[in-house]
Amino acid sequence: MARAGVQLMVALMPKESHQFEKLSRDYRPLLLSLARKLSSRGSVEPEDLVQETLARALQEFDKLASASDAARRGWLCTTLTNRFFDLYRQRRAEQEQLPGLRLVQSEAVSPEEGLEEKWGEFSSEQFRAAVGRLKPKHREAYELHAQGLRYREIAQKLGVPTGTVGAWISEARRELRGLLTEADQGRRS
Amino acid sequence: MSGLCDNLDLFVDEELEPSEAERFRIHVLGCASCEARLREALHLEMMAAAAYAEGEPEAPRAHIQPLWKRSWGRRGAGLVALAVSLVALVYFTTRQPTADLDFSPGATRPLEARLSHPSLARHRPYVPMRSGEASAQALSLEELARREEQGDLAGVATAYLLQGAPGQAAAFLERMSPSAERANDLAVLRLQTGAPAEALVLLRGVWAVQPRDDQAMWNRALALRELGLAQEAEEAFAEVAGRGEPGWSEEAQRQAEALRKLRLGRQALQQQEVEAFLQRLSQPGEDLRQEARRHPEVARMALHEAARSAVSGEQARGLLPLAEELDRLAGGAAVLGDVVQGVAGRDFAIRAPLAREYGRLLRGELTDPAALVERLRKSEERDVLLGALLRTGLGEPSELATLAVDLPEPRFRLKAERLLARHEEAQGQRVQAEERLLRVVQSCRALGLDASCSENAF
Repeated sequence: MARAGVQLMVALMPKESHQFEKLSRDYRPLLLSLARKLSSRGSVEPEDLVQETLARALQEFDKLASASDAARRGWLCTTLTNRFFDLYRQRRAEQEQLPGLRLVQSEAVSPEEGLEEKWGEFSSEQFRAAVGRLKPKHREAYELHAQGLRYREIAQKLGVPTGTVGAWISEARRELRGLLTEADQGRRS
Repeated sequence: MSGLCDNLDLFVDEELEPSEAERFRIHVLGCASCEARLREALHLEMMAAAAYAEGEPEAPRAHIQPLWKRSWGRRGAGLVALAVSLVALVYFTTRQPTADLDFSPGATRPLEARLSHPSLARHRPYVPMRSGEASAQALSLEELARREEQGDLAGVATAYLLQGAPGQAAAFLERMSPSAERANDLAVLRLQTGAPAEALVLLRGVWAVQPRDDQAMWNRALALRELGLAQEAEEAFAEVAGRGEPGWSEEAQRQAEALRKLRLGRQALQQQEVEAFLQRLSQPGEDLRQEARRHPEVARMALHEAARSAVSGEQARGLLPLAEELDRLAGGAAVLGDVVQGVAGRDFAIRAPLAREYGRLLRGELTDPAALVERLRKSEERDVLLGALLRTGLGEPSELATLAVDLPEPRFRLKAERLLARHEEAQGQRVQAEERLLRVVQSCRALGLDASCSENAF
């Protein structure tokens, strides 16, 4: 392997390399929790999904380096989800011995992950403010959920059946989508 | 909407049983509304997790390494490369010093692929090792043991790969720290074990660190060739040739030239066979079913051309016995039967003039093919338009894909996918292009064909 190439790389990119390492360290736990929601062992491995997403981030690092935290988060989420769908479709096609094509027009092919989408524009502060406007019960359940509690644990804390917790969280999401969309439209108008 | 759509929140919150979750995953693949809602829900989850984790102590850094410690699963192997690509950056500065072994004492090289060991950088002509022949590069067991003791894992792995012992090499490569060199050698290993698709994916681990690495570029061209993607391999070798590395450049040039000749020769032969078959198809009363059994792909292409150029419903219906025979040979699904029935049902007051012109295009009698393409674009005769675009090369990949997706013949879709991949490659989207190509190869295999099924001269 061209040793000169290696040295050049190290000489040119120590800063970027350090920045990328930081990005990878900062976002990996978030991405892994997202990957675990989507995939399961035996189908698309969550760890693989995260690695693929970070590999894509490395390729696009020039774009991501200067983006805000929120925009990076949005980009990573979209990329991880796209990779999941690609890999999962591929796996299903293999299992069923089907032509594994997802043939679409080039305009619609694996949409390039952009940094300017709606979900990349809300800071954590703005998000918490939106949560603060939810109906009290919904907010309480949703905040516990956001801290990583399962339905059963939330149900115990709030003294309600797990089904109710599910309904409250579902409702909280619906309200949140509305509030954030409203904020987004307000900002654009 | 189906009942499964109601499971979206439970899925996102990991509250479904594994079997229910899997059912939901499968459902989402075919439900655009759920896919959109799922994407939105995941963004919310990501924002929530970030918003409520901030200010808390950072979670301990997850160790990135375990992927390559796993067994070499068919799917997992490809992903390893990407992990390698990431960690390679992190570990770059702590890379072990290069071992001092010289693996190039002979005048020729036994491996067509290129390994990373620095002593193998100089070009030597490739002479395949015959089975049973001892390699000039073979190391004694004592030397291997001594090298291993010294921690020269790369040296030992290289020795095994040169001896054609990928199993032993793998054990040492897996113990090495991640690096571009290791990713490249792992790709060579996959080439040796007949897994070029995995080799291709592994090489991406090298690109991420060294975008124009000589060894990896060479091995990529080999992987494409082994996948049966002649044109892409030809272009990859031409790219290597352009780098002017002494010896390697000339060998790459020869490879590219050989692949070009092979491809053009194959296309010309196929073209002749299709034309001959088409000629016989136009003779009344000739039963070509037996001939079709001998050359089903040629018969298939000729049938499409005949259907496009048929000038009446009756003429189209005359193709039905052959179409049904070809469908039977391909496993029973009524693909060509549907094509022929579809054509027979068209309004020939509109179609016949276009079909006649298409016939002239086939015979090379048309002076202005672009005018026919324009007329076809304004018509509803999409199958004829696709044929004209493929024959004249006047269509953009996206237009071909749009047409192909609506037609029952899977080979059109494969061809369009292949063209889209070429387009992406030209746009610098190499990973996307390679992924698409790998799907094409896989789909060709599912049809019982090799990768050339996507380059047929329809």
